[in-house]
Amino acid sequence: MWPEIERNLNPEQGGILRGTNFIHGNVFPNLSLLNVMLGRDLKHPPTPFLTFRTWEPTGPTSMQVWSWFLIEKTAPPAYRQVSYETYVRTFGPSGTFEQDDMENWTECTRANTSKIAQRYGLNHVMGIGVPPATDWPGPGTAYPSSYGEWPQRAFYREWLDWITA
Amino acid sequence: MTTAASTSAGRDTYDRAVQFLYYEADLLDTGRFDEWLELFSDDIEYRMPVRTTRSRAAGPGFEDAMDFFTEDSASLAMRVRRLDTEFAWAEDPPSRTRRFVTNIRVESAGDGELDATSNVLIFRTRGDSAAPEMFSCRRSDVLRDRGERLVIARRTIYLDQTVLGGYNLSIFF
Repeated sequence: MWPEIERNLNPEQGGILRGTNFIHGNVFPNLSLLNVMLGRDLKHPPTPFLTFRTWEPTGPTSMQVWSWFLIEKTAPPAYRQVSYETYVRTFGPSGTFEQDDMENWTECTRANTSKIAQRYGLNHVMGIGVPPATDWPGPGTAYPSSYGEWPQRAFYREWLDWITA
Repeated sequence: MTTAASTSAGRDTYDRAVQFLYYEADLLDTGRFDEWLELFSDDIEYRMPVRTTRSRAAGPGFEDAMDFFTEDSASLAMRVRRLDTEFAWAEDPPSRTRRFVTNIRVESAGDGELDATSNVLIFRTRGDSAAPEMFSCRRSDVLRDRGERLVIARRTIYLDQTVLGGYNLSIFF
């Protein structure tokens, strides 16, 4: 993958990618990606893997999720296997992280159908007023912290543009 | 061997395999996961292939290259050990499960091993929901005779669903 990265990014951008282990994001509206490094069992050191999601609403309170595992075609077979196992056991449908996330999302959805929850808007103000990073080589805008709701606000801003266009 | 008989391995062997699978289901339904782990060989291969809907000519739709579970002894141990922590939110409070194991068929596979297939229906409820989640599957096991006890050396779980019948897979099959 590095030749493509070197061809499409400048050295400063490539350097940031090279030094980044944990990447998670969403391409509007419903394609999410996660690249993390986790252990696949009790014995072995962490292995990176890449997963994509598509979120397909099937009703106001239900969602069908497609979960994909991706690996470079040219990766060595042993690495492909280990990366795959890591995905299945952590963020696949039975994964140790995924199990809990499904619990969270299901309960959030249930709680938000309640009378009281329907009375109020969701609060997405975290990080508002924090200026963007000045040393980000682009593209886009970056903020100097992981703790903020810039992605949520960007998502709904884009959504508003689409439905009012 | 007759195709209609549920075993070619002899009545005693059949009964032993049946008792073993009932015991295993009871361990899972009563949350005795550490004891459940001891039922597996060190070289266990535990898989649940992803299933897709295919035309009749293309076969039953089980994928070779993608699993819902792809486990060995170290990863099953990780899953069980995790349940003992305070961070396993998906199973705390735990699911209420009831496993119905039927249609058990047992064949001798040589080298002290048995091929055992079973149909399993899992009924599960969580929280205060009265509506159950249901998982129906066929299990294909290789059971190994360790003298005083049997162990599971290989398990493949063939689900009867392409989209999961529950919102997560935090239980064992």
